[in-house]
Amino acid sequence: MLIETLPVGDDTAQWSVWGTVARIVVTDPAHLARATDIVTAQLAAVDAACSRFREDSELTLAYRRAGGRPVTVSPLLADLVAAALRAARVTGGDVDPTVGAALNGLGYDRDFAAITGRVVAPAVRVFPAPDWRAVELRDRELTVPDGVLLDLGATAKAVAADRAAAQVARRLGIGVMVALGGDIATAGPAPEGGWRVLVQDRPGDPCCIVRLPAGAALATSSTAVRRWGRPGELLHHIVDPRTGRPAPPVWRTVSVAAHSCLAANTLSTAAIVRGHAATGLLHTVPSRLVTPDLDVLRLGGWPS
Amino acid sequence: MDRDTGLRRVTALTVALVAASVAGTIGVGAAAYATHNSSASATSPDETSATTGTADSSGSATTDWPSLSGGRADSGQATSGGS
Repeated sequence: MLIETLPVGDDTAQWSVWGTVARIVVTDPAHLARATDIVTAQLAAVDAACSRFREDSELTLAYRRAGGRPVTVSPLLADLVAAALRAARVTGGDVDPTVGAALNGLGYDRDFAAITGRVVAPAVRVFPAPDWRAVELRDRELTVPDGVLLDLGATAKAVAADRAAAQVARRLGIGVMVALGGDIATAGPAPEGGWRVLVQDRPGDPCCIVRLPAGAALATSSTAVRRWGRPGELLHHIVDPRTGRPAPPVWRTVSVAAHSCLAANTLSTAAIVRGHAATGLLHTVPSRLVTPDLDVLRLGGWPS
Repeated sequence: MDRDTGLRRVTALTVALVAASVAGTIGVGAAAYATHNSSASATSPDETSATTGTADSSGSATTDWPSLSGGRADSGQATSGGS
């Protein structure tokens, strides 16, 4: 999980959620408490809608009710599924929400905190078949083929950051930065000079500070965190849908800036999955790629 | 049927089979090329920005990228790292 080492001032709130750190920074400290309430409520709503670890999430209940048939879902779950399917389409399937069964087969079948430090059973390779193209969403009518398990984790966290930041800015009329581990969204006016973000995967890794203009977002994907398994078989959470296995760690860390956290996260995750071909994907995009040897590659105008 | 007629028919059949094989190879190649191009065009970062971009948070899609600048190493307000 992210290790947040930055100080918490009177404009900042921070707490643990989803096995990582949630942190918000506001331009007006007088509104910090209300902003925190808004963000907390938004994260709770997203969790209740699409967690694959909760027996009572709307997504889990929908599987049981539907049995492969169409089911009407809430506007929020429809938005989250739509975002995941768009990410799959624009990445040609690199970011595929149907990897839920593959992740379960690898042992990531519960909240990550419950896996940490536990020796899991040998990994079972499960191919997402059929893949994301078999999932249908028409307005709020969702059809998931029987046996397919959706994992909306990556895109849902990014969407949650986007939605939470937008709601705080709209309801309170202030500037805000919402950080959920690697996923950072901003909305409303930025502080003078922009939002300052420390980009660093693990303590001791290469780091830098970037300034985000108002409305910009940043996402970091990593093969160095959320690792589990046992000696000789350490796994990570970014699965290549084409192999059903964690993507080879060509990159230790990929960070991408975009105008939404969803777009940034989609590209950073796809870059991990693509490996060496990621540079072709990101050559015009502000991005920072770190190799397992901790060499840093900056693309698309990422500041040095 | 004399021997020459038989040879001509065998030759004609061979030519037809080779032509069909070449046409099939070209067809498969063309299909593979089209599939490859389709996949490549579906992974344009600009499309990623446009289709998963600010439309979700502020209602206006865009195809450009934010301009970043650097800062002092000790001045971060939040961390973006692996999570």
